[in-house]
Amino acid sequence: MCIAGANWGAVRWGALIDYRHVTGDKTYDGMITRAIVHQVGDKRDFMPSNWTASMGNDDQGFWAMTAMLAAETNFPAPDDKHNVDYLSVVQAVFNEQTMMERRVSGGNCDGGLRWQAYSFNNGWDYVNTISNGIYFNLGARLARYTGNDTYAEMATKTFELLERLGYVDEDGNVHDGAHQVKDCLDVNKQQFSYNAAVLAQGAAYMYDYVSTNRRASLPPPFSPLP
Amino acid sequence: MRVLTSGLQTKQDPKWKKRLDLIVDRTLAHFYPNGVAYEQACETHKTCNVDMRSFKGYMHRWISSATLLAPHLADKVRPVFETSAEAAVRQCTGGDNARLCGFYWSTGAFDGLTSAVHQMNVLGALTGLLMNKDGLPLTNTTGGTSRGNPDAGQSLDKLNELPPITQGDRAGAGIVTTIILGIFASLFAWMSIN
Repeated sequence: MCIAGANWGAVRWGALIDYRHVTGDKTYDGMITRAIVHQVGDKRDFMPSNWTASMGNDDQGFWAMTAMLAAETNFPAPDDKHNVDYLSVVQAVFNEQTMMERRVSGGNCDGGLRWQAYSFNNGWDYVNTISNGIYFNLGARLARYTGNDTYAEMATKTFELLERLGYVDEDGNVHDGAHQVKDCLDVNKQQFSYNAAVLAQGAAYMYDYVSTNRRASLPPPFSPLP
Repeated sequence: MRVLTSGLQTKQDPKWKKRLDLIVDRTLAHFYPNGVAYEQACETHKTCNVDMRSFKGYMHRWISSATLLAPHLADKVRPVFETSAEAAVRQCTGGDNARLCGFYWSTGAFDGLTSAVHQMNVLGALTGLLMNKDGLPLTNTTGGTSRGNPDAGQSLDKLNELPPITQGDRAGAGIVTTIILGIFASLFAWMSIN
């Protein structure tokens, strides 16, 4: 079930973290921290029990993007008593969304991350760009932050899936998604700016990760004698 | 003969550069008619729901972020984002304080829609312009202090039936609006925008 306002409800804290980062204004630190701590849930995975049943993978993912930004800007960690480490929470989300329980198995959209996390919610069979795009975005950023190539591999696989399904077309248009029941052939051609933007940001992180050889993704500088 | 390539790493991974450039070029062309952010799928017929009305703010912030790690984008992104931000601020003339922002930036006039989301969008456009290479996202080798746990989240909640759904905290919208209006007061003065 999609609750209107669930997206921006998570992203607004990222907007304030960005503001803090570029201005140095720490006035709202406490409020931002409380919001994140309130949402992390018992398993520190942004699936708190009062929201969990209605959570989509995109909802969980938007919160993870806010936490990733907190890690990348050294936004102050909550008091130790809360046991919240921003990077760990992002990794928890990423690992959960990697699991096949959240994904389509078999068929043309095999491996695609579903919109919804639970099968009883409307939209369970919608395999959409924003859910996969956020996962890609997080994977790229986790790769760059940690240097762990596995995240980069998962991110790359995800982007390649979006290309193969035609969610990203050869002109750079970014479409919204398709339904598993139609084998993901019924691509919804609506273009929403957030889909394009989440992919662009993730692609920039992948470009940086690969170009600066954060891990061994480029060939070695020498070729041995034949 | 020994074949040498330069030991210097040039910042030019071609595959990701191509993907990135393709999407950014198309995004600027499609979502910035006359240089002003426009949610094409719903803005014309005023069918954007509250989430859709928040997307242009994300677009400004996330693509600005992308230009930090792919500086070659700045020459094409910056002029558009400046134009868009100016249009955004120009219509922040609503409410009792004459500083509330609406959603429809391209009209040049405040549209009467006061919502935290619309303030957030303009905040995003402005903060995007303030991002610079002194604030690159950190990593665990450049000063990032978050420790991480690669094994986090290894089990999923299994929900077999639909439990009662609660509303959650939705009271934050008014608070966020108040915060952002306060931020604008200083940001506008600082950037000499009128």
